[in-house]
Amino acid sequence: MSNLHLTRNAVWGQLAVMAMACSLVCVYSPPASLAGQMPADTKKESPKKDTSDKSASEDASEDDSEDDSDTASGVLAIVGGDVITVTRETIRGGTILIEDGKITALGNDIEVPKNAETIDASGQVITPGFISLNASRVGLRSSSDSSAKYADSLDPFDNNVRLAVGIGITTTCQKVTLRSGGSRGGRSEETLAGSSTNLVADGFPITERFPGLDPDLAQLALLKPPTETDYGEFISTCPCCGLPILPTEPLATPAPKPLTTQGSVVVKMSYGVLDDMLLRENVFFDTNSGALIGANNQRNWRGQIELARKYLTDQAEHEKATAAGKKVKPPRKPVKDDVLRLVKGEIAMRIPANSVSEMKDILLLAEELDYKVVIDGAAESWVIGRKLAEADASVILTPRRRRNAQFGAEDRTGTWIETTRVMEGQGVPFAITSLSGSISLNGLAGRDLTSLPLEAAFAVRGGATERAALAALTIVPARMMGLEDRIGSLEVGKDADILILNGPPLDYRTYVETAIVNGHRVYDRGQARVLPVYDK
Amino acid sequence: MLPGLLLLTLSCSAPLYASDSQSDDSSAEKPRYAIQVAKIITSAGKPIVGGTILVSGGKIEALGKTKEMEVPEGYEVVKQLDCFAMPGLIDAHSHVGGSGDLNEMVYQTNPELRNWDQIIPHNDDLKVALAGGVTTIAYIPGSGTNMGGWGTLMKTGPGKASDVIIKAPGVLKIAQSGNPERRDGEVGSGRMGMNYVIRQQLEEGRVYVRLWDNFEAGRTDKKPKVNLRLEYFKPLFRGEIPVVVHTQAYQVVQSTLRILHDEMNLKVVIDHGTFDSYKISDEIIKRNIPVMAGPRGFRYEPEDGQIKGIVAEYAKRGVTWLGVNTDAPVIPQEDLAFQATMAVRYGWNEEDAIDGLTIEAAKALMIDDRVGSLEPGKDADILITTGSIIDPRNYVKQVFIDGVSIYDISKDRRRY
Repeated sequence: MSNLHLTRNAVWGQLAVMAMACSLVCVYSPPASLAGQMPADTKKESPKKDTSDKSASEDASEDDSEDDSDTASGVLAIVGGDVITVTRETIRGGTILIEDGKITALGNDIEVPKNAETIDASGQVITPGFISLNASRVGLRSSSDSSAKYADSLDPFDNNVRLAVGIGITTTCQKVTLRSGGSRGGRSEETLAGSSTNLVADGFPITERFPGLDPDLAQLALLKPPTETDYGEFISTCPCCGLPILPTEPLATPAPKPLTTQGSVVVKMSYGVLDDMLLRENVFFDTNSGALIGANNQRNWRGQIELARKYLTDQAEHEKATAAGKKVKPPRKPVKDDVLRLVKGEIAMRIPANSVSEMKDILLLAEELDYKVVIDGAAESWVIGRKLAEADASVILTPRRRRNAQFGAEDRTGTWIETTRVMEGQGVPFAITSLSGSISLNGLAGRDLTSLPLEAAFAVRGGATERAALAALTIVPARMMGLEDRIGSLEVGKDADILILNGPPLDYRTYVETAIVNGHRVYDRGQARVLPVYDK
Repeated sequence: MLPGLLLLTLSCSAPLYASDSQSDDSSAEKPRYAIQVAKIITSAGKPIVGGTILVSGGKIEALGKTKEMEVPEGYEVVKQLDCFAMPGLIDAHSHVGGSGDLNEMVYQTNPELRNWDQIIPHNDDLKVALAGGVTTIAYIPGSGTNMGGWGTLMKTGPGKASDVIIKAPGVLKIAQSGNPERRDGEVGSGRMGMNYVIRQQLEEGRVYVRLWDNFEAGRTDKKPKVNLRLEYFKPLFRGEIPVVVHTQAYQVVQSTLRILHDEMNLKVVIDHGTFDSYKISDEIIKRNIPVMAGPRGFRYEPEDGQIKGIVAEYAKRGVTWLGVNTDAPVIPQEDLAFQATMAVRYGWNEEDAIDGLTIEAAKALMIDDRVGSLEPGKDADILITTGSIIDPRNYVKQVFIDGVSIYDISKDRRRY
């Protein structure tokens, strides 16, 4: 067992080779002999026999999925559960149909196609998958290679992915360091879509999936790796026992710092399925705490926005002129792309801020310069609820985070458990994040990423409605990322990211029985056996 | 030194703060309450549905069904008919009762150290803690050395030190692995050495107490010399206070049972009991030793890749004297109930969890004559909650400590 790591890496090496082989299969319409190596092909004959690239890829994806999730008709039906849609009314004893990774029908009077695979969810609760905005290192391996692509860092077999989806998180937004690799820019999600492949192993003999893979090594690939722990920036460790401790001292407005930006990757928790695991990159203009503090920083920022707006105008004029047949020199781009996207309203600024004075500065600038802002942390947001609402801002909260009040200023400083109630009352959208964004197996319970639904229970403790608290895990973060057309609620046409729960979503006793991501059944509690197994 | 002064100091002898609230003049002026709630969780038998608690002189006077009880004159009625009442919660492992001085790491064993001189009653952490329902903590030294010193059993409410201390010395802190390891070549760089150091120190204390026992029983005329370093071993070896032990993992708990229980005959509290130590449950049951597990709540079992609830694993093996701790500030003090929430999520029984937060912890700390349940004669440490404290959606609306309302969200700003 001591060389488990090494051995495992060896397996990953093999898997990576397989994956590369498969991606070739998908992208470049393969010869039949190669396609025949896809093991499921031997068991099930795909009804469609098309030669185009696209359908070859689809065929592969269908064949590679678990056989209990795809049938001849390719339709998965969930029947009998109480469906909490989040954005619409709850449907008692409803039916959901899923095809090609999307929700195709939802309601009470839905006919289930004959060949559909059906999950009986009577007596259970169905919700959209939860979304985490602060996840760290879940299904995304770090790389020392600065030219590596995020798509190549994805690891659908990361045990963290299974633990995350096991408590209901189907989508994570993970901050990443922007890399300066030459080909990095050209690798957007559009080009990625065709390059990934399906790797389904859980509950299956992996050697069937990957003929030629050493069976012993394959066995090891199914073992769970030890998990690294990232406690997040707010947490210090106990000098006595080394365990993490949250600071509680009163907040101070940070000193001005130069504005820097960070990238983000939105990753689906599709355990065992690499296809469509990467949802989108850079969904925020992510900047640092202190970036908009101080006259100098603010002047620079105004200047940037001004340049960006001027560029957009110049560009429009240039396009007009070019269309008119004139030969004009195109304007030089004076700012980074993410500033342009912010100005165009494609993304929101996400900025960590906690004190009232810092948040006020951020709101003033956002209103003046007209872009959307999401304040992360927002410890003292309860003091300026109305201002936040007027500025059309939204906040990311962790109800249990505690910063003490300044002495003598208890009514206007520090955190407050009732912040979620205040936000809901003022109409400020709020998302919930867990105390730590990584998955920690050090034994402290209910504080890492896997405590996300429990953190939302604390939002209810603070006085928010259950409805708002559930929205804070689903549609609100989806809207913050501009992904509300894809995730965050159960509606026809949206991604089939669905949880079947054995109780109400915010009840501490509730477990996910089945999780479906992108239409794939990626987690079954009884089969996965990663969370405690007992009879409730 | 000044032996005269030492003798003077010690003449009052341990325990310095034996519970004696009757002698407190203020108790006569304490308010009288009739608290009426939807349900009383007593931690002493079945809950009372539709119940009333009569409080006077800081103590619980009586409790029963509201229908069957008359409210005597002069009692202020507290009507919370949609709420629960329950005993205040007790944390058997906390470091936030005072200034942050947890460890003095010159000597390997420190029976000369006591921490009740640096307590800070009702500090910022405790203010929030009591809004989370915590009314009593074992405020103990850290695990930087094998014997960190003597801890204090205290309440979280406001007042002078003498108002909040239940018992001092309340417990002895011993640490048997990990943190107290000395890495510079002395004895005690490993577990064999550490256990020698612990045994040696306890043996010295035991002999000292025996000498005093013999003298006090009149078996000898020779009065032993007072030794400040060893004085507090008296209540320990007389079985009046327990030793709380930083012990975790099977092997370490095994050594705890052998050395501290079997050889030294002490009242032992396993005050971490995490990792795989639940596997020694049968030996724990045989000796009837309490486990106050935490701050870790689960173990990731490498053998099958499964997360296992530590308390649930003890319970599954038949251990009933069970509770949780926070090791605050590792887990914030206010999240004591949440530690139990997670234990229940991972398979513990909810009713047992409520007992574990109250009466089982009180018994472990040997203060169940004062706190831990709602019974006539006990301290009126009462929580009014919006429902079961195990559900994090519920919260504490009002807290009584020693019969005085010290937190009331109808008047005070909500703290948790």
